[in-house]
Amino acid sequence: MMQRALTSSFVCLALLSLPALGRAQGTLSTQGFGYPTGEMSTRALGAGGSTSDFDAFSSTNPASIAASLGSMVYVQVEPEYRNLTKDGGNSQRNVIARHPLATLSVQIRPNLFGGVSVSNFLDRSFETQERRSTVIADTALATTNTFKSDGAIGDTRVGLAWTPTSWVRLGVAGHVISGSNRLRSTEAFDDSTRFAAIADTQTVTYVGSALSAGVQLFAGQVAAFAVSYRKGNSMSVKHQDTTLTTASVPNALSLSAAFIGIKGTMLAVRTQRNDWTRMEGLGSDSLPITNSWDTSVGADVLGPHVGSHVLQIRAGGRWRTLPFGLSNSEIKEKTFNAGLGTLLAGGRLGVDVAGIRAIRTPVSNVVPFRESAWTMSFGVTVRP
Amino acid sequence: MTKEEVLVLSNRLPNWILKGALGAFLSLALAACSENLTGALGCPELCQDQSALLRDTTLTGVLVVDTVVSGFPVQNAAKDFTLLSQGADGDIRVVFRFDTLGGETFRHPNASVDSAVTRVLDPQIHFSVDTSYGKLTAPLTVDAYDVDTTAADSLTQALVPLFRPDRLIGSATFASIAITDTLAIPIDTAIVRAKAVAGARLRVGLRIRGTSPDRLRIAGSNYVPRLTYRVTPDTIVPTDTIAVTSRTPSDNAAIASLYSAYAIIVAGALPAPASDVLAVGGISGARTFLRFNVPAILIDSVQVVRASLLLTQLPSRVQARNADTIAILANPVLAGAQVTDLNLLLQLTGAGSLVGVDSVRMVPKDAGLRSVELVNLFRVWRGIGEANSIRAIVLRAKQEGSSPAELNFVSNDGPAAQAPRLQITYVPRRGFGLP
Repeated sequence: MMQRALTSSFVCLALLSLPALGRAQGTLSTQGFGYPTGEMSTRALGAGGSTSDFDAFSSTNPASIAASLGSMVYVQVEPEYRNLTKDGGNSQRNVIARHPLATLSVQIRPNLFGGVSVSNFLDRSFETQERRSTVIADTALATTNTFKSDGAIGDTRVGLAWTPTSWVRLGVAGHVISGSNRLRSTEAFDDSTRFAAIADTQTVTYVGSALSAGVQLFAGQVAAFAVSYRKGNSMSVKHQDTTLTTASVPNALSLSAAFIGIKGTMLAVRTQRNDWTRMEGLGSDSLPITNSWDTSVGADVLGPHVGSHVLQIRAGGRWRTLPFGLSNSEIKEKTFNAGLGTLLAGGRLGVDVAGIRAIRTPVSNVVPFRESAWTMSFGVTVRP
Repeated sequence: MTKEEVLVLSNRLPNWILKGALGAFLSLALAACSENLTGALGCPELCQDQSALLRDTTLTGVLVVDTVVSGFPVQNAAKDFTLLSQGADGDIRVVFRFDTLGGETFRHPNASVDSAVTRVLDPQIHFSVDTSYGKLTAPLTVDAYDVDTTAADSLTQALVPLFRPDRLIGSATFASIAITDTLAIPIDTAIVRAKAVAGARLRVGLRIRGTSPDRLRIAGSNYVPRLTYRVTPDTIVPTDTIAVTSRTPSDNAAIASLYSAYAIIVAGALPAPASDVLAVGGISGARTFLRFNVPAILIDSVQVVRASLLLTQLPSRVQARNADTIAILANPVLAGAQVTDLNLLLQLTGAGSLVGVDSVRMVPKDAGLRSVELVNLFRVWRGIGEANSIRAIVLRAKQEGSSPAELNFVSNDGPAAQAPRLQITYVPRRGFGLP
């Protein structure tokens, strides 16, 4: 919750607005502990996420903090327009507000950079409503059940990046994986004369940590490679002062390669292995968790000049298995991404826009649901 | 357009595009702060079942006190009265005191000095009627008697003999459809003039009579009963209006004010029932006080979903009006544990409706198991320690002392199988919400 609040406040103070963040469960994408947004910037998302390990705004590789080439503040907003379809034709639309990433970078020395980022690691905000029946003594009673979760697990990263030579960048970071879910369950009986509604409220908090390290290597002006690894430490779920369960923050290994032989252009491929099963034990034993690959390809190319401004044009695609599936099926996600970016105000203001079309499908045909979404990602960078 | 103008425009255009894009970005960013999360389509397949596990239990012997107390509403405390004319089953009359009659002056048109009242024209008593209380089906007559006496006229036995023909000072008969709002009873002019001129008090007793047992509800809380009369035929001079006022006892204005209008029960009040019977309602205005000994865990540590007070209804001991539907209220006692006086406890109650306890409608002649739902009261009790509010309620008729109809229930002293008990459905404390 803290992470979510921090990120939200960061963005919305800038917008002179106070948002509520959240996602909907009762969908394919937000099972379990929630939806992994990926901690990628709008710029990286425009290229399918493939450039995130080289991107100063994303928080996937601490070595990329050096790519900021100076001090800057970055905020990002991401409304998603989701459509859940049930076989047979019924569909449900949701609008989800996200503020998944905010980054602050400072140049400490000419070749040393520091960065703090606050990002959504797993978002778990939703509200479901359903009709059920409950039995009291021998009487069956119809109820309307509402379950609401508000909150997220966030990732606050503090990192340093060092550029010992022009062809290598090294980075290390410490992560505080924390947040909370404020949960509310209500069960209203149709016979409200005799039976009062059941209302329970509970807040669970998550506390964990991780360390990450990364490197970027440049082969002349032609190619670039990046490797990063996040080592998760323990992670626990608490209710007030009581530790409910303990598990571990998932490890993550990402590998990226990019062609940079054309000025202003990057053609990249990236894959990341996430050991989500290290979270087993945080929830119920029956929660299906999948270790997954998150793979993307994309391009960030120098586009046309519009007046005195240069446009970056981006496109890409991404394939991954979502970490939390259903008991009878994993959930796959494919996204098709495109984006634009430019600099304004003499380079002091950067504006990036990305559109993401996501298709989420269960692996098993027995699950009668399909999900699709349009996500618009907007990022603003301010340099002093 | 010149070449220079084209160049200027081409330089400005991208700025406008980018500014527009930035504006659109900010608008969309603000729009991203609102959302619609609620979904039902994915359930139950994609949802966790968060239904609570309910437990049901019936608590017997949970009543530590069950007592019937009569005499409500407390005489003189009420402003609304029911005139009842049902013979031995119920006879309730009302007394209005006009102790400030006389001594008034008025001014003729164009006169420079006031004149004393020497004439009284068209004297009438006006009072408002609560027509929601019951629909009359036959004409009804209201008789007004001069009940002024030197005896202690707060006592029923002193007043009842004064309702006799030689003291009749006014009467009016109303068709049932004519009783809509305010009624006016003409009063004997000579009587009123004599008292007005002499500065004497006027005390009027009202009773009703009709072709069938009838009742009439006087809504004194909405409209203060009053006496009006003219002091001159000249209509420019306003009508004199005198509200009900009591000046006795002369040494205590507060008590005196309680007697400006009051009801007297002539017949129909029953004594308290046997100890194995609880009573609610009736002419005597019976209330039942129930104090529970509920295990603290059921109030403090679990979430109560249902709390039904189960009462075994007995056919009413009163035959009159026993087919009428009576609404009973379960009012929570608001006193703390330090208050032990039963009469005081019975008056220190709050409205059940304020804590979500609904009234229950019952028919006195019926018998069987009845339920009074107290779940919302249990939830209020959870927020108030027992030291501040004892776990007790008072069962009372919604309109007390206005009908012979009385509801009877088996008390704790009755057969154990029929004694009052609580049926509780609750949710134990639970953890929920983790996937």
